[in-house]
Amino acid sequence: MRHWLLTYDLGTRLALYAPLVMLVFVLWLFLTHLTDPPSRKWTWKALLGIAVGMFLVQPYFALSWSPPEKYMGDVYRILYMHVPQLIMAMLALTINFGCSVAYLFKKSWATDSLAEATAEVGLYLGAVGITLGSLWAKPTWNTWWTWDPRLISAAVMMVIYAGYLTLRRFVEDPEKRATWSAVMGIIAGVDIPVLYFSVKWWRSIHQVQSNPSTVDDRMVVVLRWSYVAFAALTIVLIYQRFLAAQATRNREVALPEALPPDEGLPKAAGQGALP
Amino acid sequence: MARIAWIVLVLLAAGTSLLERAGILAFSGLGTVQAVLVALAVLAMLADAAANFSEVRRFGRTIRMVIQKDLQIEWRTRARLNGLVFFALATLLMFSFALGPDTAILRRNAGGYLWLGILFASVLSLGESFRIETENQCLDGLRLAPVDARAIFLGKALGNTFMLWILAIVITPVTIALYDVSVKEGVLKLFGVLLLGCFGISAPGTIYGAIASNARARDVLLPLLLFPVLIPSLLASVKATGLILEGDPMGQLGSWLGLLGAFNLLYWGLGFALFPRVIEDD
Amino acid sequence: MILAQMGHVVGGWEYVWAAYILTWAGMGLYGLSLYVRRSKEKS
Repeated sequence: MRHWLLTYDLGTRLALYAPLVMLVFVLWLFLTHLTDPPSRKWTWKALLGIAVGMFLVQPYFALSWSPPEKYMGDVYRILYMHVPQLIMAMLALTINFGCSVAYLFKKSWATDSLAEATAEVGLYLGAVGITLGSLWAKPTWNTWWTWDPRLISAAVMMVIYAGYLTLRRFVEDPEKRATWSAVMGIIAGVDIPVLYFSVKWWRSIHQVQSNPSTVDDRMVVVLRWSYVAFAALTIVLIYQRFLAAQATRNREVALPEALPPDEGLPKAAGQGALP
Repeated sequence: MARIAWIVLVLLAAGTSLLERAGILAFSGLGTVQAVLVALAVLAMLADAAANFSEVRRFGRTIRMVIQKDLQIEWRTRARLNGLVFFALATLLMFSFALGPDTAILRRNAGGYLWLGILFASVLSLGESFRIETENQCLDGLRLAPVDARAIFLGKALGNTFMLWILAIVITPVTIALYDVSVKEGVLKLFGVLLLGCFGISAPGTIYGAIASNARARDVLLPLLLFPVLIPSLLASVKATGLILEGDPMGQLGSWLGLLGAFNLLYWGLGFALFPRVIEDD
Repeated sequence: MILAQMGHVVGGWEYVWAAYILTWAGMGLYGLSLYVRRSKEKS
């Protein structure tokens, strides 16, 4: 019995697996050079290059190479964009939860900046992901929205993290902002599963997760390609946003006189750069 | 030592019951395991309390003092309670106008309107609860006093719960009249569910109230932060209230109260752990 | 057009195009905003 992948010619096989290998290599380089700024510079650019390259090729695979689905016809191709984006959004928000917990154990501006970065990237990816889901739902279920546990949880999650970013914007003192965001991050992170299960109880239509073995092999390949592409891009986005947040933190902490005091509280004394 | 023991035991018991409810965990000895966990937790709690008796007494006294302070301030002017009651009544009235003269619909959704009224009023209540602290910098005074911040949390949250519960009880007769419902399962059960729901609003509400009262645009921020987090509690409270008002032929009340109870345990626990970080200042 | 009734969807390419354009444009705009914010911080 030949493995299904071997039914394709060498060119196609290389095209499918080379980016994954490159990505793993670049990720390894990136992680081992996190402490070395010059190496960081070119590794994230390489990641971005790989991501962009994969995204340029993905439409061919998604729109032409993979076959139409039995029941959904061609509309299912939206899922190649919808599913990876939402998975990456959830990954980003999970990292946010981790940072929130970590910050309360050990204060660090890096943790706080990462929390801010992952919240924003997670919110963006989640919002676009939900919109794409809506675009998929209209032709398939004939409605833009439905009161299904996963959709409601996703939508509420977006509102919660929009609130998180609003809180960050409305608190001037960097240390208070970091602590309160961490508290809110924890409450929000705990609330998401509780919310999901309550709504599931409250009603019970979402697409049953297709087991890869029941769909065409080509669809699995394209989906994995999309996952890898989005993963690379998400890492780049988070990293860039993280750098921006770090820069803002350094600017704020260096000039405490520039910040107006928060209402109702005496000006916090002795702000200094934290490790 | 005993403190860590009972905290871990309670978390295990709560965690297993939540997982059981979600359908993830199920085996035949689960009930006895949970009973044993709870029994051990109670024993460890008693041991802890006995070992730290004076600390426990001071903790309790702080809670009592904070509640007394809030209630005394409130009783002197009764401004907050009056404002809350009239606001909630106005909201209920607006619902009945906005959602049509069809009494069948109003009757069926009365629980929902009641809880929405309480929810909107709670934003005012929680905001006010912390405004009295930030005015004259009372919170600094509280913070500087040698009391446990977690006692302050319990005191404030219990005070808020009590205010909301009084509000809920006061607007219940109006709800019954306005939406033409009858309390099929008994008034005592209704008040019990109202209390549980108010507990559910107060725990995250006290935390977010403390945060929002020190940020800009506090009146806008508090509902934005609080409402999404309260959705599970709202669902359970509304469903439970609806069942009490319309009758519960299939005995579903228990499972909704279970959800509400689990939510309360989770958020009172989280609030207890996180509140010191919210009001610390260093 | 789209026939979702008989369990088989025909057509619907406009939704697919809309999804892809939205994703690409969104990514582009978000990346651009990150870049602009970075340069503003650096200056």
